[in-house]
Amino acid sequence: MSQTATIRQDSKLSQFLLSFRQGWRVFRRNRMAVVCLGILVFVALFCFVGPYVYHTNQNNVGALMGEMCSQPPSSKHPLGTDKTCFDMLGRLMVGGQNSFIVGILAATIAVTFGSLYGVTSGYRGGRVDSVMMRVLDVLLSIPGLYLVLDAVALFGRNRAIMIMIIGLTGWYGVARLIRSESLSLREREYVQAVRVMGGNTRRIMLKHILPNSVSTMTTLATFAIGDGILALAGLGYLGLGLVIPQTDWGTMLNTSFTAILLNYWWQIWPVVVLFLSVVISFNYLGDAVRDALEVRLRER
Amino acid sequence: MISYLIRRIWQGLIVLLGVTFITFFLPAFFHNNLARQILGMKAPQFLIDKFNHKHGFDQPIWIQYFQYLGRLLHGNLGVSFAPDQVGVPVTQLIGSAIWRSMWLALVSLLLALIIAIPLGIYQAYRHNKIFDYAATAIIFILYSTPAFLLSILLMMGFSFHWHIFPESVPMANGENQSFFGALWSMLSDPRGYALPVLVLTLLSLGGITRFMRGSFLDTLVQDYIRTAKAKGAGNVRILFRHAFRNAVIPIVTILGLSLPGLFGGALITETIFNFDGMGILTVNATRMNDISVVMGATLMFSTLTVLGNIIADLSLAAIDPRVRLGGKSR
Repeated sequence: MSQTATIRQDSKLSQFLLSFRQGWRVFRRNRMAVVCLGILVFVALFCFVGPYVYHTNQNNVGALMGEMCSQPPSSKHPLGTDKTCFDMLGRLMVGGQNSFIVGILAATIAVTFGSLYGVTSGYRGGRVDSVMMRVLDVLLSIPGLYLVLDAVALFGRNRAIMIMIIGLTGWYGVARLIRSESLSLREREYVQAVRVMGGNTRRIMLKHILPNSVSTMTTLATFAIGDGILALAGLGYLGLGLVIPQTDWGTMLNTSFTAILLNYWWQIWPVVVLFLSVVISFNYLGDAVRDALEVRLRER
Repeated sequence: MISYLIRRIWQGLIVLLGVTFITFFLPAFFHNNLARQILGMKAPQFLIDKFNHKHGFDQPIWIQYFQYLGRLLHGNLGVSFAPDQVGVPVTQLIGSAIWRSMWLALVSLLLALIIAIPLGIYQAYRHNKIFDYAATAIIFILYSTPAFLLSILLMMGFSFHWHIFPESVPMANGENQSFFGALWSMLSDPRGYALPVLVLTLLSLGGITRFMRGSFLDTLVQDYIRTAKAKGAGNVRILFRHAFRNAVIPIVTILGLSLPGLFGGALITETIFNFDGMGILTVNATRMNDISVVMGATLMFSTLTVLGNIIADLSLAAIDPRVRLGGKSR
């Protein structure tokens, strides 16, 4: 009994690997997408492995007392220092870590919640569907930024709160797309076959419809990470980002207004370049993943 | 058509009812000690009771909700509780901010359309050529740049470095806050308003161009285009007589759906360029915990969004006879 189970698992795994390899083959043809993936891997390594190679004090504000702040690049600080005397190069790494973590976890929440909502609405149909879609209309017609502003004002500004808020305001689009996909999937023969065999609604939704929407979900997740990083940056820019000594790229840009006037270029351009390259890469990657998965489906 | 219109308006009203539910209960649960906040921590209890009684806060919450709905039906959004403008009706505050914001959004959207439609068509016509690649790359960068970053970069270039445009727009002075006054002020001082308009134009440009290009590419492979080509029709004729009308239809939907995004983007842009409009009004109200203003502004935006969607659906049905108005689910 258990042996059959392992065999089934095994074939599932190899099937997954096969489809992954097929997708990768198509993806690889898109040179720009590979470049974007390379940029993302590079920046992620820079942010997460960098601090182990390049040691700086990024926590203790007190220990920096007496140092000169906002210094231009020198041999001691390759990218200069910021307003609060932190080393800019190390600061970029810390900011990047937070931006990546918030982006990825918020995207996970958004895609999970949105998919479950969408598949329930689409598969159940009828009255459940129209009520759920009206609720979504209500949420869509309230500008997300207000909800975010309110929530930040109410619950404070730590990282977990940011992840929750950005995730919970980012799932609307996912829910719509997954719903329309389940609307067409539920009419497929294999789903009807499961229903005839007595599979219950939950089983059909979780085991048969959602796994077949994985390509849509992957694409949406890629975009959602980019959106999450953008949302955090927007909050940071409004001065509602993470609190010192924590930081994120948006909060770092928030201080750039004074930096512009004083011509402190080292406090602006490195952040702008890193931030833009990451967001552009995620957006381009989203397009490329969608193309790759579509082509893979066509080649099958 | 009429029954479709009625059904859409009915749906819109239900959505708005849902919005009032959120705008009323979300703050009501979290800011329950408004009286303390306004009268101060040391205010005696009888003053607090009097305040609560005067504003109806001592009633059960459901009664308060229905009272709120009743006031809304009379066009009364309540009064502001912010220290510098206590008792000023919210409708008055919104009325003095909304026209400036509306013209800012509309002018930018119009400019974006004027640039994006020809650009998208040309890209589709020369697709996978060098111009297409270059334009796609630029549009991708614009599409990924957040409003605040674009604003900062343009401000750095155009006002601090080259001194072409001022870094903040003309102040609101009563005259330029009316419906026509706001438009006139923008038209008579294009340099003053150039930067926020430029930012919002560039922000909506990316999405519209990408969409236009995709829509044209889909249209250009249709059978009737091949037929037109086979008959010997010239490129211009094919593009504008045969393809244009069909390819431009989906844009209408995008316009309706981009309405909230346009206002959302304006929120940050307005804050940066010191543009006295709905954005600054809302951000300040949020910072001051001025609930009635935040609720009023949110309701205002939601109404605009719902209206935008209805208009988009209706014009889609009016332009494209293939759109079927029947059908229960969407």
